[in-house]
Amino acid sequence: MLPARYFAAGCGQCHQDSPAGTPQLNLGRLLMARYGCVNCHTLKTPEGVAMKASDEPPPLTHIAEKTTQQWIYAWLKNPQAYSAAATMPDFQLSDAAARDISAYLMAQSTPYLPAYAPQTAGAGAADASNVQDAASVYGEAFCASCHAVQNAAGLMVGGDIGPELTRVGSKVKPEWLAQWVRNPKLYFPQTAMPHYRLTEKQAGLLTGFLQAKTDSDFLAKVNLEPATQEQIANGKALVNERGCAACHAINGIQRPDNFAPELSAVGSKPLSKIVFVGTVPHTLPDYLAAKVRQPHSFGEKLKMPQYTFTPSQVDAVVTALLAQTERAQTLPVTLRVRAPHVSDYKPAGRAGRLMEDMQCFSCHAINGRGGVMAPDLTAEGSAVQRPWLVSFLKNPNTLRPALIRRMPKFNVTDAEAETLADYILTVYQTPAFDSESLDAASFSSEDRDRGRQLFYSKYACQSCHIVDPQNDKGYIGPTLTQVGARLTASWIFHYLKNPQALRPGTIEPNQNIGDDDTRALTAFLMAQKKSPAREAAKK
Amino acid sequence: MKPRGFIVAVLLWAMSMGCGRRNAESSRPQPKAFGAAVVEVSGGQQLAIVGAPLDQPLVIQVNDAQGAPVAGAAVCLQVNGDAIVTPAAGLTGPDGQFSAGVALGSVAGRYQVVTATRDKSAKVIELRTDQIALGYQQDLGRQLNQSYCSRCHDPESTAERVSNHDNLKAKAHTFTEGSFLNTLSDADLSSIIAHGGPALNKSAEMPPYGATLHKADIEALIAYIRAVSDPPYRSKGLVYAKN
Repeated sequence: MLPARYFAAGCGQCHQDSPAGTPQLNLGRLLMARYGCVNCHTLKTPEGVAMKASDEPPPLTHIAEKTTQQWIYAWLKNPQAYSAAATMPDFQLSDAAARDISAYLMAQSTPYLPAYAPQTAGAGAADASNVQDAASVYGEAFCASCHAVQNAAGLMVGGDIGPELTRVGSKVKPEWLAQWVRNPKLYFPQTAMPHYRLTEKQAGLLTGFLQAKTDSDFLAKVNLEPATQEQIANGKALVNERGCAACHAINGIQRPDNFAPELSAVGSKPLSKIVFVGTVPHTLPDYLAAKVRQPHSFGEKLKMPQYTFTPSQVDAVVTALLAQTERAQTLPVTLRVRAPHVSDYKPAGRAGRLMEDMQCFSCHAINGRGGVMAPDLTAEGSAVQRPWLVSFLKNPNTLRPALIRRMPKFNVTDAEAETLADYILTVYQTPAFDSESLDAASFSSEDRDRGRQLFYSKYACQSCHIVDPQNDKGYIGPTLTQVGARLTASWIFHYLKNPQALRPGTIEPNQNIGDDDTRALTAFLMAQKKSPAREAAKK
Repeated sequence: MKPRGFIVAVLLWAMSMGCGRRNAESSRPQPKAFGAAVVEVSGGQQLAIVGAPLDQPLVIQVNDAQGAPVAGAAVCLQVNGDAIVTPAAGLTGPDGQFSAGVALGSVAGRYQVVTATRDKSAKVIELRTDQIALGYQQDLGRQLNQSYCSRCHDPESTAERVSNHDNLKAKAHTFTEGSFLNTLSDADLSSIIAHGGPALNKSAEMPPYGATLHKADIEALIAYIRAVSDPPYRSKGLVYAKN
């Protein structure tokens, strides 16, 4: 019988979506996409669609521009020594193998931007003159929304969309970094990183700031002689053998098809076809768990690399694998619950190009495409007012003070901000209501006073929101000091009536507020138009 | 009756095999030193799904009478039910510590790991640490707690997320606070979650979630609150109205 902790594997036979009741199954599928299992192993859903990895591993075609052979060597030997959260697994390579693979990767690299070096030879230099200014460029760009850095206490602070930056100065070449922070798309067109439009000064400061994040220990023991032709040739053979190209683009090497066994029906694998070793109990879940936990315990020659999954992550991956059964593949279509449609939505025109350039979709979802870190913008045009949106796009101020991950400053021009704002306000409207249906001018001062009363006593909104910065302290929800200049009256009204209808999944509780109370609260909130900057200037 | 008596005898014998009995003596390493106390370093009070291995090892330390770590002391770990602790015996390292992995048993509830060592006079010294196995409903409650409750009900801030606990006038109760939460019936808890603080004559800072969460969600949350409560929650069974 299947042990209770894998029970969600049963749910996964019909459910290709992520039901709220099966966190373990959902985590397992997410890990297989995030850690690139599906780049080597084919995993097909019953519809015959192959699962895809959640991000594109960086191409290695121009790697010599980016880093040194020493770094590649040290990274290959132990990716987690460079970054504990690295998704690249440990291939447990010998010193010689790591040397040869790194030699080949350097040798196959081609220049990616021929005109680049002379242009920015002087201007692109790292500027280490002003650490404080540099830190504020890093802060304003909210690099921490996507990148983590280890703090003094050894804790990782920041997001996991981009690589950890604690030791980035030991990795990248200064010229490459200077170019990358200016426009990452030139090096890696599919990158999730936005084009920040930094000034020369800002780019120099940021480059200097990042370049200073070094770790002398990481490369201390790496002593490599110049590579020989023999090493390079051997490296190429090893790259083919280890399947590096299943994840990374490499010059001169084809992406291998079906590099590892297909796992579409691994949950139905008969025990007679499994070779058990050591003390692994003779059951399929135990076999899969042992294989995921420590592939090399099944043979030193095995190509599968070593991952750093925690025990609960191993259980999650095994649950997702056990859901891949022959029974699931042959179930009648009517029983299947499909994965949500992956949209290839592309916004149009000038605004569309800007949104792609600034990578809005890395964090925000619109019409079913995009990330989950930031609010879904599908109906944002009904929510916000134009003057606020324009100024927010130019300089995003803090809406949720308790969050580390926030919207960065993209340094857009006035014209760009207006183009974006007009597009959002015109196109991203909710069908649920007309955003001009409620006129803020119709509110009386009685409405506002009653709204204040309700806000502070009956609904105690101040436990999560700040209206009066002197007395209110709650900071789970957005600060509301200038909400009257930010949101439309009709959005506030309908949002209060049913928050989940407008923002699915929001934790703001639906308090079943009656129409009269909602109107009074809306009147009170629409009167909050203070700009914190202006208030500070007055004092 | 006879076969049953035999099974009981075998079971008793098997249970006595575990720790500190003569039978196991031969297979266990001989102590090089003796301590006076066993303390927990980390890994107590972990939560995991039934039958799952815990993410963090249980690390204990043997100290002498002055509180200094003792290397080479023999320790022996036992756990109830069908939970497994590996390695179950060994000597403390140079730092006086011993680390063991724990896999929880197949029934939801608490599993107590008893770490035993002997002092110079061969007296057994014990440390008891609880680990909590969550059933399906309790695990769902844990996920819901993460999304909806913990920002106010957990006073600990993390590097990623600042707690809102101290910003509230009426301090939210931590879910481990059994001394208070165990006094509320399931109906009371359900009522305060669904209808907000005022339902129990408490602060409106606790908002109503009855229109946001399903009934099953609220039941899962209560199951989770009961599972993590310290001291452990004991259902009162049938309760008659008082005069």
